[in-house]
Amino acid sequence: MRVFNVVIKFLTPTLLQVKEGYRGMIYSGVTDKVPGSTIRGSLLTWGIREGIISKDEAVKESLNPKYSVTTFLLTRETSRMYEDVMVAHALSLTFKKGLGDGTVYSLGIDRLISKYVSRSTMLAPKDILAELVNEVMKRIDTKGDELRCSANTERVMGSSLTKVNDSWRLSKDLVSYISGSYVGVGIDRLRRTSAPGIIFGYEYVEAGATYLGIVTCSEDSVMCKVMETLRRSNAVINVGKGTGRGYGLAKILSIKELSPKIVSNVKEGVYIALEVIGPTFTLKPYTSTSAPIPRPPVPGDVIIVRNKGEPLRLEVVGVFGGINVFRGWSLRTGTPKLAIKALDYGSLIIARVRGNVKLLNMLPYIGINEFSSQGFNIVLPLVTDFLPSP
Amino acid sequence: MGKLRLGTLLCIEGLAHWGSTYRETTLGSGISMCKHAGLNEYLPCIRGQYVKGLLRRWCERLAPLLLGRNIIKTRDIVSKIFGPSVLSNYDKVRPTSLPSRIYVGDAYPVKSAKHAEELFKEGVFAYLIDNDSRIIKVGTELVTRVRIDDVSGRAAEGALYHEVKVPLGALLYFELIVKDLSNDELIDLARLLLLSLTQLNISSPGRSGTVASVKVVGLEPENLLQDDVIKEIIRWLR
Repeated sequence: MRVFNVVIKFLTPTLLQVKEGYRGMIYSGVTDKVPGSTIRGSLLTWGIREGIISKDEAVKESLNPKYSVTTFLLTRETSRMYEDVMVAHALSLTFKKGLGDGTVYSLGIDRLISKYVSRSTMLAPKDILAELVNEVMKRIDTKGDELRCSANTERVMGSSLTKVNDSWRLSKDLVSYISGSYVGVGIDRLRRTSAPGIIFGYEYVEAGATYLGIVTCSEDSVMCKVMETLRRSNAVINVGKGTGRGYGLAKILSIKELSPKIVSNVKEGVYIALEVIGPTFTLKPYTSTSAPIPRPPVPGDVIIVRNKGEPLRLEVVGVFGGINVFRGWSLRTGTPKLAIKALDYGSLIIARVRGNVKLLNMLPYIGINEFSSQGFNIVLPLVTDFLPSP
Repeated sequence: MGKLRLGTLLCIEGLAHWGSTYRETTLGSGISMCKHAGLNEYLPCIRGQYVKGLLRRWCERLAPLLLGRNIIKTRDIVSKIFGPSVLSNYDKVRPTSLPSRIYVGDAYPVKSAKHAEELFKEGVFAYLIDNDSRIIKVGTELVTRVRIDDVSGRAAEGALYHEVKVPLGALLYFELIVKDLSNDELIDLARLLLLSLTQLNISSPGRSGTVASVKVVGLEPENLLQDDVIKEIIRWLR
C-alpha cells in the first residue's frame, strides 16, 4: 500500500460541488474543500485522456476499488495532511471576527469521552453535549472579558483548519482570496442568441487557491499507475465543472509519498472519537424489514472494518454533528449518482473499540470500507483533542 | 491517440471590449478581469468561455463548407469537440461520458509576440503558475458614450454610459488543448481551428467593433506542419 500527500493549486477559477437552484438563481459552491469524488474523477480522467489507463480498467476497478481519496482541504503550499491541516470537528468554535486572533478552540473531545466513560446510566447525546456546552461557556463568561464571551462564539464545524505557530486557524482566513462569482446569459441553442430570461450565476473558487489531500492505493491499482506518472510529469489536471470553457485548471504542485501517522496505542474496549473527514454513512437498514439504503450511523450501530486478519469493530454510542445529502454525476454511467444521506464533514462519532485496534491507524487513509474510493467513509480517530480549550 | 495544442496571440488594433462585469466601474459595463494565480492580481483578459464560444461560432460556419470541399472528412467534428449542439445526435457525438476533450484557457496580456512564443515553448499553461514578468497588466481606457434613442434618432435623455476598453497595441495570449484525438480528427480539427482563427482577422472578436489580428505562436504536434493545408494557413497567421 502506498500513501501520497498531494498538493494542487488552481490556475483558473474553479466550480466545485455546485448546489443548483432554479433557473435564474445563483448556484453556490463549496470553497474550502474539494470532495474526494471530484478529485478521483479528475485523476482518472487525466489518466484515461493521457493513455496511461483505459476506461475499461478504470470502470472495472471502480466496482472493486483498491484505492481511497480523501477530501482535499484549502491550505498553504507547504502543509501536510493531518499534521498542519485538519477539518474542524463538531465541538470546535471560534470568537466572532475582530474579537481575537482567529484561533479555533474546542469544547474538549477528552471531556466528551470522559462523560461517556464516567456515567453508569447513559444520557442521550444531546443532553451530554448540552452539559458540556454549559460547562465551557460558563468558564468563558467567568473570565471577565465582555467581548470574548459565550454570546460571541460561533461554530466552525467542517471548515478547513491550518496550523499556524501551534494554534489552529480557519484556512480561509489565511488566504486573501477564496471565492468570487460571475453572471452569464444562457444561449438558446437553436437561435444561437441569448435566451430570454435565462440569466445564471456561479460561485467559484479563485485562481491561486491551494488544496491538500491524501491518495492511498495498492501497488496494482489503476490509481497507483496514474499517481506514479503524475509524479514524474509536469502535469495539469481539470477539476470540477465547466472545464472545457476555462474553469478548473489545476497544477499538481507536489506528490510526496509518506508513511501513515500513528494515532496512538489504543487498547481494546476504550471509547474513542472518530472525526468525519469524508461524509460517513452505513448501508444497514433501519429495521430488519427495510431495504439497505445509505444512512448516517446512529447509536447502537456496529461499524465493522475488514482488512487482512481480525476485523475492527466500532460500537457507536454517540453521534454529534450534522447530516447532509451528497449528490454527484457518474462518469462511468453518464447518469446522476444515488443521493447519499451521510454525516457531514467534521461530525464526531463516539465509539467503543473492539477487535483489531491496529486498524484504527489506517482509517484516515483507507477509510471504513470501499466507498472511501469516492471520498466517503473516511474518519480520523481522535484520542485527545488537537484544539485547545477556550 | 493524439493531442493538439495551439498557442495564439490576439493583437488588438483599436479599442477592444468584451465581457460585462463591473469590476472597474459601477457606471457602465467593464472589461472582464482574470485573477492570475502566480501574480495574485487581476488582469484584463478574455475569459476562456468567451474565446471558446468565438471559435465555436466560426467552426460551425466553416465546417459544412470544408466538408463539402473535402478539406476535412470528420462529420459532426464541432459537436464532438466543443460539445453537442441542439441539432446533433447526442449519443453519436458524445459516445463517452468523460468530460469534454477541449480546454480553452483565458487570454492574458503579454509583453511581446516573442514572449508569447517563449511561453508556448515552456509548456502547458506554465505562465499561470509563477510570477511571470512576461505577463503584464495593460492599462485600460474609460470611454464615455451616449445611447441613441431608437425613435427620435437623437441622444436619449440621461443615457450617458461608460465602457472600459483595452487600448491599441495590447497583445493577448491564450492556449487551447484538445486531447484524445484520432489521427484523422487531429488533422481535421487543426485545419478547422486554424481557418476559424483566420476569420477573426476579418470579423470582430469582441463587443462594440473590437478589431484584432490573430497570430499563431505555436502548434503541437509539430508534424502537423507537414500537412500542406495547415502549412499554408499557418503562413497567413504568422
